[in-house]
This record gives sequence, C-alpha cells and structure tokens, in this order.
Amino acid sequence: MVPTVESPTREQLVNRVAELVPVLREKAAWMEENRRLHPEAIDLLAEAGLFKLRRPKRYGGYEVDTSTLVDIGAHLARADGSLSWTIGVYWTPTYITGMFPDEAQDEVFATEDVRVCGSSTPSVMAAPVDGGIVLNGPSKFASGALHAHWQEVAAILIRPDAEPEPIMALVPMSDLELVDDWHTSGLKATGSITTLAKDVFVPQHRVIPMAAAMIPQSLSQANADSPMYRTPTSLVAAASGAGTPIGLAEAALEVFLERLPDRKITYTFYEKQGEAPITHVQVGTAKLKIDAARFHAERCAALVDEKCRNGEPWKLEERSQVRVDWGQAAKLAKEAVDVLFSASGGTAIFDRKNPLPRIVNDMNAVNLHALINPDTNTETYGRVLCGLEPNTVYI
Amino acid sequence: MTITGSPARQDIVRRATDLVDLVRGHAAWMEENRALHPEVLEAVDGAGLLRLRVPVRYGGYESDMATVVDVIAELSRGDGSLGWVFNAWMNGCWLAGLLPDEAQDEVYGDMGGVGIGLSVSPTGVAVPAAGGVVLNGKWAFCSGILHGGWFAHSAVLAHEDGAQEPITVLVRASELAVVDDWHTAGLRATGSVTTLAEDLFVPDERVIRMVPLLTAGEHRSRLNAGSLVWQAPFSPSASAVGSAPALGVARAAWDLFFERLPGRKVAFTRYERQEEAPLTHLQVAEAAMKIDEAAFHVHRVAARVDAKTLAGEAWSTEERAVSRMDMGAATQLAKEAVDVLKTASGGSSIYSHVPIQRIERDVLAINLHGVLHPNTNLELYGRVRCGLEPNTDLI
Repeated sequence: MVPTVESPTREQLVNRVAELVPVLREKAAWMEENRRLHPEAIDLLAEAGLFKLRRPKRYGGYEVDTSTLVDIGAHLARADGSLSWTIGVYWTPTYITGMFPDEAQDEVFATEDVRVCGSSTPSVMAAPVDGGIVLNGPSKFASGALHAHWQEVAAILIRPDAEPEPIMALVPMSDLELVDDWHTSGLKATGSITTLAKDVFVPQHRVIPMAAAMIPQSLSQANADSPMYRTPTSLVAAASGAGTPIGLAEAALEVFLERLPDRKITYTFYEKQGEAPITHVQVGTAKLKIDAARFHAERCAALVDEKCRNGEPWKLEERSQVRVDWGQAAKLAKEAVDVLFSASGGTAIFDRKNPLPRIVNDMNAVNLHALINPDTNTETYGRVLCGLEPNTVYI
Repeated sequence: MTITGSPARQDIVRRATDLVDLVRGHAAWMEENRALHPEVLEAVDGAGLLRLRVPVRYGGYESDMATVVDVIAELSRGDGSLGWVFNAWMNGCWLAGLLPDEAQDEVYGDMGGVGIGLSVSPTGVAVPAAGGVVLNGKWAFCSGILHGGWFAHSAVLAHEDGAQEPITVLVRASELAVVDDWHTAGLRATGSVTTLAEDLFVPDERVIRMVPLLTAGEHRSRLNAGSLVWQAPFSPSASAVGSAPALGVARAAWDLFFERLPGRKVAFTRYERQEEAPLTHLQVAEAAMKIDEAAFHVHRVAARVDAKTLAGEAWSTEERAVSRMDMGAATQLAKEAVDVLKTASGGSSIYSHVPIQRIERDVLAINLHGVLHPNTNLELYGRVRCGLEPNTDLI
C-alpha cells in the first residue's frame, strides 16, 4: 500500500492545470478527429495529479473537495470540452470505488493513476452464481472507456424470489468488449463508446447495491470516517461535472475577444465590430451569463463540501438545489455560447480554423445529458419547492 | 469592515426583517396616498436604520455595504416604494459625509438618523456668489423629498469665465418648492415629485465638486477621510445600493405567490391544485433561480466594494463597469422572476387589493431608471471589454 502523501494545495493543483491549458488546447483538433483523448494529454494530466484527486488518501490520493473539482474542470474545458468531460467522469466512479469493500479497493487502487469509468443506467443483466455474479449486456455512453483500467458497470441483478435490484459491479476493461459506436455531433473526443459484457464473472466483493452509492452507505471499513464519502453520489457527480460548461463558455469568450479586433460587421458600415453597441450588449450579456453559471457551479460544490465537512443530514430541498444548480450552470453557459457564436459571423463556421463550432457542439451535447438537462432539473426543484416528492432517485 | 460599537450585521438586518409585516400592512394606503406612512417612517427610524451611513460621531453605524444592501432588500420586501426611497437616502446620506466637517454638524446634527435624497440629472444651474453659490433649477424624480429634511441636488456650476463643472449641493427640503406631479404607473408611494429652486443661496461648505470626487475620490471631510465608508468610490457604492431594491421586491413576489398557492386551481383545466401541475414546478424553480442569481449579483457588488476598500486597492475601469453591470443584472433578473410569478398568479391577481400586481408595477418602474437600466449597463460593460472608453461619467 502506498503511504499517505502530503496533498498539493488547491491553488497548486488549479495553477498546474491552468498552465497546461495552451498545450492541451493544441491537441483538441486531433482529439476531435480521432474521437478519443490524446495519450500525451493523459500523461500530462497524470503528471499533474488529476487522477489522484478523488482517490482515497490511504492509496496516495488527495481526496480534494468538489470546489477544487469545479475550478479544475473549468480550466480543462477551456482547453477542450471532451477532455474536461472525460476527466470529470473518472472522478465520480473513482469516488464510488471508495464505497466498495476494501478488498476490491486494494485491487483497483493497486494501479497508480488508475482510471475508472462508469455508467449510471443499469442496462446490463446480472445473474447470481457461486461466489459472485455473471454479467451480460451493453453499457452505452461509457465516457472514458478507451483510457480506463476498470469500469463500474451498472446492472440489474435478477434473482428468483426477489425484486430486481440495481447494482454496481467493478470490472477490468480487459473483460469487456468495446463497440465503436461513438459517432456524434458533440463531445466527440470523449470516446463514449458502448461496452459489452458477455458472460463476465464478477466476484462478490466487487459488487455493491446501487442504493449504497446513492444513499450513501459505504461498504468500506477503511473509508468509513472519510468526510468525502458522506454525500449522495448524484450530488457529488453534479459538483464534479459543473465546471465543464463554465470552462467551455469562458473559452468561447476568450476566442471571441481574440477574434474581435480584426472583425468588421459584413454588409454594414461598421468598420470595427468592437465599436458597435450591439456587440457591447452581446459581450455584456455573455459575461453575465458566464458569471451566473459560475455562481451556480460554485454554490452546489460549496454545499456538497460543507455537508461533507460538518456531516449534517441533507434536506430534500438542498439535494434538489444541487441538481438544479448543475442544470442551471449548463443552461446559462449554453446561452452565453449561443450569444457569442451568433456574434461571430459566417467565418466562425470554419471548424478547422477556430474552436467555436466545437465549443458549440460540445455545449449542446452537455446540455442533453439526462442528469444535467436543465428542464428536468428545474421541474424536480420546483416539485420539491411546491411540497411534492421528487420524481427521481438520482438526488 | 466592523466598526467598534456598531450593531452586528445580522442584528441590523433582522431589525429590517422585523418591519416587513408592519410595512406590508400600510402598503395599500401608501400607494393610494402616494407617500410613505408616518408609522412606517417612525418604525424605520426607531429601528436605527437611518443611521447606517451616518458617521459614528453623530450616533451613526458606518455599516459596511454588505449590511446596507441586505437592509434595503428587506425593506423592499416590505414595500418597493419604501425600499426605493431608503436606497436613495443611503446615497444622499453618504454624499453628506463628503462635506467639510462643520457642514456635517448642520446636516447630521443630533438627529442620529437622517433621510437625504438625491437627484442624478444636473438640471439646475448654480452661479458663484459671495460665500457660496446661487441655485436655480427644476428637478424631476426627487425620491425621498417628502420625508427627508435635506436633499442632494445635482447641478452645473457656471463659472464667470464660461467654464462649467458638475456639482452636488446639499439643501434643506424646506427651501425647495414642490410640484406634485407624481402620478405614475409604479413606485407610487415614493412620492418622487418635482422640486424647484429659485435664487436659492447655498453656502460653499454644502457644495461638492463632482469631478475630483468621481475621478480621484477627493472630498472635503477631514474626519471621514479615515472611514472605510467614505474611502469607497461613489459609483460602485451607488451601484451596490441601487442593486438591492429590485431583489427585495422579487422576494416579496415569491412570498406572496406561495401565500396564494395552496387554494389555487389552474382555471379552465382539469388541475384541481396548481401546485401539482408540472408547469408550476418549472415556473417556481425558474423564479427561484432568477432570485438567487439576482442575490448573487447584489452580494458580489457589495462584497467588491467592501473588500477593495478594506484592502485600499485602486479600481480598474473594468471593475467599475462590472459593478454597474451587477446592478443592472440584479434589476433585470428580479423583474424576470416577478414576471414568471405574476404570470403564474392567474386572472384574480390583477385586482388592486392583491399585492403582487403592485409589486409587478414597482419592479417595472425600477427597471426603467436611467442608471439602473439593464440594457445601458450591459452596453457599458461590453464597451469596456471591447477596449472602448466608457460612455458615461457615472462609473
């Protein structure tokens, strides 16, 4: 076992990533073209410690709070949306791994900088056998599968004389088939292909009920006292993922202002776009939306971190607020990008000359994720405010 | 920024919160009579709230901006007109602290709390005279004139050599003639009538030269020079103050919507209970998001004033522009929140005795103020980000 190491400070970690943005940005076009992350990007991020952020301290991890994840996720998205998305996805299954029995954690965390991908829709069938279960079926949208060592497979356990039960099973990637179906309009470089389990045996210590991750009820002895493991997983996922849309929108504003000095407004008498009052309103509007999006991202992370620190129980309204903050951050960031792209002229659609089309496509894809979808989250939050039960268990 | 001997922020804000029910009880009378109710004014004064921006040596609190905005928002939650007049008083009262110390004796006197309104448009002309200036002019929108002892009027000082410079003069309300023209669509109880000055002598010690103040923070008070309250720049301070009324008004709409919700159906549909309709959930959550975002902007601009003043930092043009934008954004988001809630309040909400219709008219009126107007503030910020000079001196 790796001894506990002194974790870098939040500032050190965030600065490391901020410094990497220019070099990571250069890989974005290659990554989009090849529908996967660049291996050098993975190496740079490993060196920066990004695969240790949510790893338990007793395995040499940092156990940083989610406010740190928002900052880092945003910087990564300034470089590339798919990169931020994929790294952010690793954070959550890595966190859930810490809820598995310690024996399973020993196996997974034996790999330095281990990357665990996951799925949250239980589309795989699990059957009980001696000493464990056997898995069969596909997991779609397996972001990060191409660069992962393990997958946390969401499955339904079918037993005689029992209700079907959603479970999570830790499976080495080498046990799964990869189906290359990731041809999409956005987040192309995430390589979120389908993985396929065919008669895959999983020993019992690598299986937990999905409820254990949602409630949460850690099955780990060693992590039982860690503040990181006191929060429902879907809220942790919200705080882990909220930085991505922020950074995408910030990148759009950076690119817009870089292009601005050379731009006119075609077929008008404006010689400089930067002198047109409509441009000023557009820039102001976009900045406001970005700032408000960041407010929501930081608010949900701050609440998750506060609860982790003080161990207070979660109120339903607080849980739904975290979800709605995630959705609202994505929605406002998308609106900001829409304003800036609309103001960027016909030349902006040349996707080999500027990153704005990729940013737009990535942002639209982010907003369609079922856990982020602003409409769904807004409705859930409103239900709770009106005194009704939430219509989801992912809360 | 804690001042020894002053009540703590929570204590002061709670005093404002405690007045909300009393204020709401008088709101209909106040609108009908186009003036604040004497009992409301007594309660506000009795709670010490007029002391927030009064020097400690006159029994004031010299509260920080974070306290001021919360008090304004709470009073506005009671009634929009009260909050608006109070917001004007906070600015006027601050301006009086820039006068030479002997003049402050006269203005602050032994009153402890004092209501001083202000005009922004320099629609008066002053000419030099022995020991002061002679003032002539006509000012519309004199919020607070009916209930305050003093008023700060904007004017142009016409020097004998033809040069002109903007000034602010402190005059007694009793020295001005009042034109009762306050028949308006919103903020009716502010009684923001037009006032006239005719050959009014104003001694030199009650004249503030605005250019040195706005550009370099220069003023003539020796005793207030060491106070953090008067080290803060004018426009960002006024931006913080002006951001708060709309927030409180939107929160009032929120309160009143939920008061009415339990008994309501959705007319001409099969919904027996409005709170069970998914559309209501979207509306409620959308309004909550907008109100929370408005609060984010209010607190951000106030925190920026407090933090930069405490640190003694210089203000960049962009920071000044962001402060103006925070005010515009809070004002617009509050209006949007009220619109959502009012739209969800049904046909019965247009009766004059239903408070939410007044709230709607108040927030629309606030959004039309020339300094608060969201469009103007967005454009201003956008100009600065696009590298242009601001097109206003109020920054």
